[in-house]
Amino acid sequence: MINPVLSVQELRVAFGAGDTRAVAVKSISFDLMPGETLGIVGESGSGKSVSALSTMALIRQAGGDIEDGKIIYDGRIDMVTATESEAREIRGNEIAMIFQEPMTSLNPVFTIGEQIIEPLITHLGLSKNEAKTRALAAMNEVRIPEPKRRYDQYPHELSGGMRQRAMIAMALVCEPKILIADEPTTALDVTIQAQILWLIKKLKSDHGTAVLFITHDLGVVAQIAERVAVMQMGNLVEIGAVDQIYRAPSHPYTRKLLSAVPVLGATPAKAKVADSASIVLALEDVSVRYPVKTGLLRRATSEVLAVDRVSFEVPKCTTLGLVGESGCGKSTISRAVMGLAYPSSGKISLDGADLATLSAQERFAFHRKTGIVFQDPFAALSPRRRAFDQIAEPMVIHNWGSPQKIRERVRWLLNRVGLGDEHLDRFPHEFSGGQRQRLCIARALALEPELLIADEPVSALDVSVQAQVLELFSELQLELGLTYLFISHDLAIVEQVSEAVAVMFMGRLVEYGPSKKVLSDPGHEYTKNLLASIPVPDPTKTLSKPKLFAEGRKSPIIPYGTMTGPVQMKEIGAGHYIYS
Amino acid sequence: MNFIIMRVVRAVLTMVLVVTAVFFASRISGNPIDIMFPEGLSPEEYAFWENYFGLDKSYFQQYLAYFRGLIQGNFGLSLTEFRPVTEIYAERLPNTIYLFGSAFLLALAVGLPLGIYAAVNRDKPITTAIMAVAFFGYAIPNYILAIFMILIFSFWLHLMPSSGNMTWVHFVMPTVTLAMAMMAWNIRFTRSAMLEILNEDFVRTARAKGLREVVVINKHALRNAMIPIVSNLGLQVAGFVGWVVLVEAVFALEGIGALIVRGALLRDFAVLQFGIIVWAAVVIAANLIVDFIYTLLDPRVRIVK
Repeated sequence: MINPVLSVQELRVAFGAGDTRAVAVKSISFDLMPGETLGIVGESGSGKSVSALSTMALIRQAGGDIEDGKIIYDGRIDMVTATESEAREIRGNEIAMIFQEPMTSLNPVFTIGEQIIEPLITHLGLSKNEAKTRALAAMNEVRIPEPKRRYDQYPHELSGGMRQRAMIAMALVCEPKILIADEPTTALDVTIQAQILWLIKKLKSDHGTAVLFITHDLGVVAQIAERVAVMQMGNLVEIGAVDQIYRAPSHPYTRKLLSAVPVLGATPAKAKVADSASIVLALEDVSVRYPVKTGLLRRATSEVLAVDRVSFEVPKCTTLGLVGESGCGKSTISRAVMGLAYPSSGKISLDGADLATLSAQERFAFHRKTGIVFQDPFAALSPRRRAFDQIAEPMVIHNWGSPQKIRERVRWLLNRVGLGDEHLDRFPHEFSGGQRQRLCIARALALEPELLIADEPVSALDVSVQAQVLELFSELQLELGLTYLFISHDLAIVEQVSEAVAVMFMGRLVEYGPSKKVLSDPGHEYTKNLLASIPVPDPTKTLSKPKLFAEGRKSPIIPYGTMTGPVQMKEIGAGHYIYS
Repeated sequence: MNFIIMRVVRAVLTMVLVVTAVFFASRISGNPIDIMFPEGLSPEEYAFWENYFGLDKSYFQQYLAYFRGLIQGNFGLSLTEFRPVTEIYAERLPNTIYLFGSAFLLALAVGLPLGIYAAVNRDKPITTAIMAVAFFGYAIPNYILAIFMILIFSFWLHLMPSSGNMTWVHFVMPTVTLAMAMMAWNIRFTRSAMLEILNEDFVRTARAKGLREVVVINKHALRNAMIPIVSNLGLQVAGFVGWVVLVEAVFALEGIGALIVRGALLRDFAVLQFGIIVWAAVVIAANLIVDFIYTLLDPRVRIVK
């Protein structure tokens, strides 16, 4: 019989002291076999990261205590009772870990190389030169191009995907028996995610490393894990082979989680709410450029081309989904439409009025017509103001009505987004993530806008909450006749909420059309690549080897004043265009 | 490299502006001859002295002449001592440098480790004590501290000389007085900078690699915390140069502080101007050094292509 490489037995972890003491992990047990990938899925607060840190004996530094249980590594050492120096021998040597944020998980003041050789010098006692040879080999293995040059570079000189590769190289350089990956791809774009998943899979089979893969994304876990453990509020509710969990989940929570995942192609095309020809938002050849100022005289020498000659229209009562990866210009478009960024050329019109021609007074009044909901509901609300004041503020600023009227409207809005009168006087920290996003929606609707911009409104929320908030969006659209500009990187969500979709890449629009068409039968290479990279929550559909989309502009930074060519448009179906 | 050259150019420009501002500002206060001869002069005598010191020319001409002198290294004659200001400063500057330099190093040598300790051992009783001392040092005005020290160590215990600058012993109390507030500042600042860095993800990464806690703190965390700490030290030089004047006065230490004060009172333009030029040069040099250390510490600043 094969012994597990890691055996967690009735682990119980708590945080805080006294009245605020909270149990984050309530007696969980599982085994990790040599060379297998065990996925741990769960929503925020389910205790998955806490379990991982406990395994590394690093939970105390994060403020938690292991109250009970055992974490037996390799049948010989219990990480719970191990002394600090015993645990240190294991960390980075036998059990290595990679984290969610490659941007902040590397030390910014040391070179990539210095950071990769550290475990080799610490654990294996290698000399600097020997360690360098090993490090370069590891960098080669994780497919970091030009490892020799990268070795002497600093983290900020590398892209997010490259940094995560460096993290993986650092974790695997001592050939550990276990790799713990805590949401390693969550902060990355979907095409980069596909590459990293592919890499982890390959390294695992090459070296026989056991992987503990923690994620909230059921699509990712289906693609990478052989067994899956589902966690809910500190409990392990179900564990089993990946096919079994996805095909025949036995626990109601697992079923609920699986049904909440938006799957591309699973929803019918969104029915048109109203058939009206009136256009609410129109962009005509809009470019947004930010000058990069350098030198003693702060002269602009180059510029960032954030948005390049983008045109589209959004008819009343419809939703346009704007998709693309980070840095593609989708948020800049939302800022320009809000009047928070100024197009350097082109025309944005809202309700037929050209934004650029408005006087200061008209511009002020115009702000009533648009509302915005941001990605992170934790950062979008002032922590020091009560819910009532936050929602009332836009109405106060715009002199919307008497205090009595405002009070009534705030109540109505709160009820409309699914919160009650008892929430009026609460502060943001007293709400959950989903409730906060509801508050943000109420605030965005306060001035009866026509256009609501939703910039990744559900990305920071758990799947089950996501579904509810999306439901709220569609109810509000029907009821209030709202027009949405819905920005998201999640194509399945976009398909679910929008009639039309616009795909952006490097500031340019590359494809536009009815969402069903674009997402099921994409015309542009980039869209095809994007769609192929999405991990499907179905273990029978395996991830294909990702390819890089290398066409088009490499960098958004161009010499100052460079003209870009006009957009070539090609119709490939009814209302379905690709651009070049 | 480019970055450093730009900073040096900017520093030179700042010096020119300072010299100009000081020159005109000092002249607004009035004519030094009125103070030199309080009993009054006949118009002929007045005209003679004005001519002698070059005060009869227009401000602009005086300014040009002064500037021409500066370029040649001639900073003017003291109107009260009739000798080059550089000579006067050369006698006194070492005292101020010893005082400030030793106080600065003392504050750094004590403040930095205590600050790191207080950040790492957040809940220990010693930390509370350290922070109490830091708060005290920060809150008490240094002239009061100086007077108490004179009372205790000179007047009652007869251990220390209360004034003068003959031997190194004379420098002990002024140095401690000046260092107290700087040290308190260093402790508080280092602690908060370290606390912030210790929460960073890369500190967790360093621990996950199996590094010793000493390495995690002193290498991974401290190297990052040094970035804000160093810029704070630069500000400290600028802020505490003013305190030197007070400390020198209380301990009758013959440094440049007293000189500048007298220059201002007596409208001894050349003395005052040179004092402020030295002062400004120290502050600008400190900032320049900070910028330079920055480029060593922070690779994100270093790479400006």
